[in-house]
Amino acid sequence: MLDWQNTATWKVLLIDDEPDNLEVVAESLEFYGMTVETAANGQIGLEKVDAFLPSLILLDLSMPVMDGWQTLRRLKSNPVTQNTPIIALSAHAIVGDEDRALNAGFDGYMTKPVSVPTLIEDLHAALKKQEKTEQ
Amino acid sequence: MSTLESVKPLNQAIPFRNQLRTRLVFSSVALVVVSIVIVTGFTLYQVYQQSQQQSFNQLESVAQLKENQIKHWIDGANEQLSSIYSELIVDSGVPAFLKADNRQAAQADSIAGQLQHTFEALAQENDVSTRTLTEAFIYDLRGSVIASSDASAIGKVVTIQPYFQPSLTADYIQTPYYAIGSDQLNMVITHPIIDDSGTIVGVVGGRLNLNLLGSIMAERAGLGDTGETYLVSIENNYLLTPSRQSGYSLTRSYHSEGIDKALSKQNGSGIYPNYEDTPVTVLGVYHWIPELNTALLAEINEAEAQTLVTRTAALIVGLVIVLGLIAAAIGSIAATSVSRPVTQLTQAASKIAGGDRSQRVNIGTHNEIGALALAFNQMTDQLTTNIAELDTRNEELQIATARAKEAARVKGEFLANVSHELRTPLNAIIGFSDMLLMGMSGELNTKQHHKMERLKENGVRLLNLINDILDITRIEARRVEIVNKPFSPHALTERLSAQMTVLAERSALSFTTSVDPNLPETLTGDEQRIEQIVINLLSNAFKFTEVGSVSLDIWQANETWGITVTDTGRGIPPHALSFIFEEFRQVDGGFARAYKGSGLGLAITRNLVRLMDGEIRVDSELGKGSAFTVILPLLTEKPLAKVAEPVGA
Repeated sequence: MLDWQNTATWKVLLIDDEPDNLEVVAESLEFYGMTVETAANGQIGLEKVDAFLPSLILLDLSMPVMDGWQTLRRLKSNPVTQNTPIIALSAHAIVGDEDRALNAGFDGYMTKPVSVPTLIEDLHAALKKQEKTEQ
Repeated sequence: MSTLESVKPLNQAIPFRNQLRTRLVFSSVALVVVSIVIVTGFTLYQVYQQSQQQSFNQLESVAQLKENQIKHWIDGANEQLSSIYSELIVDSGVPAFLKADNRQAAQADSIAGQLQHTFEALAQENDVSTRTLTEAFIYDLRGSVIASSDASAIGKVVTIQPYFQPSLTADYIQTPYYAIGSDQLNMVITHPIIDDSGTIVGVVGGRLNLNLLGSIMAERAGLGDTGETYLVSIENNYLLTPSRQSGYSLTRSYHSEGIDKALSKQNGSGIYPNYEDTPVTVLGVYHWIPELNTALLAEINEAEAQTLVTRTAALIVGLVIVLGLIAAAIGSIAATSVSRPVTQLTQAASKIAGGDRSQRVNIGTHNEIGALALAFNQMTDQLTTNIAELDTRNEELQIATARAKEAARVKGEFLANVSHELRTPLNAIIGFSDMLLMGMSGELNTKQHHKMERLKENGVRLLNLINDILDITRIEARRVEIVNKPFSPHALTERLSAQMTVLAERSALSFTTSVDPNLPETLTGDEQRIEQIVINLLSNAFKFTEVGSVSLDIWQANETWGITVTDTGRGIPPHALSFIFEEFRQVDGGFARAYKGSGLGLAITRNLVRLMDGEIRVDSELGKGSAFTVILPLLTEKPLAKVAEPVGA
């Protein structure tokens, strides 16, 4: 479980192929006190989970080598990460993109660009939304 | 045959009596039967009349013949009696004997002997059939029989016999009678015996042979199987000659129209029920025979008299049946010649309707149906051509539609990619701006901070533009679905009010909201889209208002509800009111630069309102302000309790 009062306890795995995005999001999360590990694609991300043991995973959808969809399936079938919240972080903002992701098993959906000042609230809202849908 | 099967239901669908064949056959049979019945009806009536007349004529001649025979029979009796009179009485001194006061017994025997002799001699002259008299006898004025051909009669007294009194004055014929104490029918004729001085001194009488009368009447020549002739006495309506039928005794009273008319001394003929206990209708001729005081009747059963008519009728019925069958056959052939090509046409039409347009009809006749078939084939040719053209056009249309769909898909995909590709760098632009503004890379001085804010704001503006372009494209492609769900307009208003208050405080404008208290707690609609509409309108109001107020009013009227956003901004010039809802149109170019809108907000709003079956209006006065009003249909979910409520509860 994520402690929303104390984000410093979070260990976030960020998987995205864009170095600029990695930099923006990773530094912003670190700014809020979280421990952040980055990966340039799903393959690398999967290799890191056993050692890192993330409490939250932010996953881009369009990536080379292994995209977000396949990575999600792998993460959800991995005992280490099967209960870890996974939020899709994507530049796909067309109607239906979010539904597709939530149906595939993501626990939340966020569109790029992210808003750094409201990042924690937006993460919270994304996860809450899925909880609401599941009820 | 499969072709027959496919048409079978059609044949079955036509009721038998409606079928062409039935009607044609019926018509031809009716034509033949009706004409035969009319023609033969008249003929039959003629035959009936003639045969009836013929029967009457025949009966009349039989009756005439028998009447003559009876008269001849009586004449014969008279003649015989006359010859006895002249031979016996004139020469033999019988008058003197009768006159004498004392009659000699010997002379009496002599007279009796002579009478006997004369009678026998007379009998010898005639054969059995003409022996009209069965007895000759002489009696005096006192009625005492003094001589008779029947020796046992001598000495009897005849005063009580009906003929006695009339016989003393003139020639007399005593019509048949039953002698007192006898069941034997008698008939007697008498001559008075006159002496030289002309005085009647006695009577000579003769008893007639009634068997001969019976023979005459029993002779049935010309009477067919059922005819008869008989005599009925005026006395008690007794029969004088036996009936053909057994069980009808002479001494009964008989009545019928013929008997009664003849006994009232009329001659004539008629059709009437006869005398039998169970009367049979007969054709009858009746004569009154005064010599016998008797009715002579000649009758024949009507049924037999009409045999000819009956036979003719039977023949005609047979003829009608045969001709009717022939007519039915001819009608059937004629019907087939019509119905078969019609059926062929029907089959072909069914198959064409079923999609087999190669069907053509080959009737092979050059009559009207042949012409119909020809026209049918031409029509089918034309139809085939037209359908082929239609098919071609359909294919072209399908191709065009597929191309259009593909184009739309490609466009959508392109937009999605554009969106994706623009958002990715925007994430970096806005993200790094945020990080710098938040001092993550060290504090910025005022100038740097200002420029960084401009950078971020323009990034966000670019993002909004992308969002608006995506929105309007989706709405125009009808890819936006309005999802109607129950929602609370009050909660929506509160939420918007909270959001906008920040904007209002920043721009030092007063901001008020109001909700009609009559508005239902729950409405049905697409809350997200309604919120988008209100935000667009409020954003515009704040954007274009420098001093004064902005207000949001939610109201209700009859079947509609609505949102009105009023501001005290600079207003819209009248010429611009007609195009402010069009894409990328702002009142002037300066506006766009000054207020940084994408120019798509009102277009999106109008399109969304239209998707919700509503309308949007604007009232504006230049320099004083604008009021945008959205009117939506009032949709409420019917409370379930009302539906479930039992009637009368």
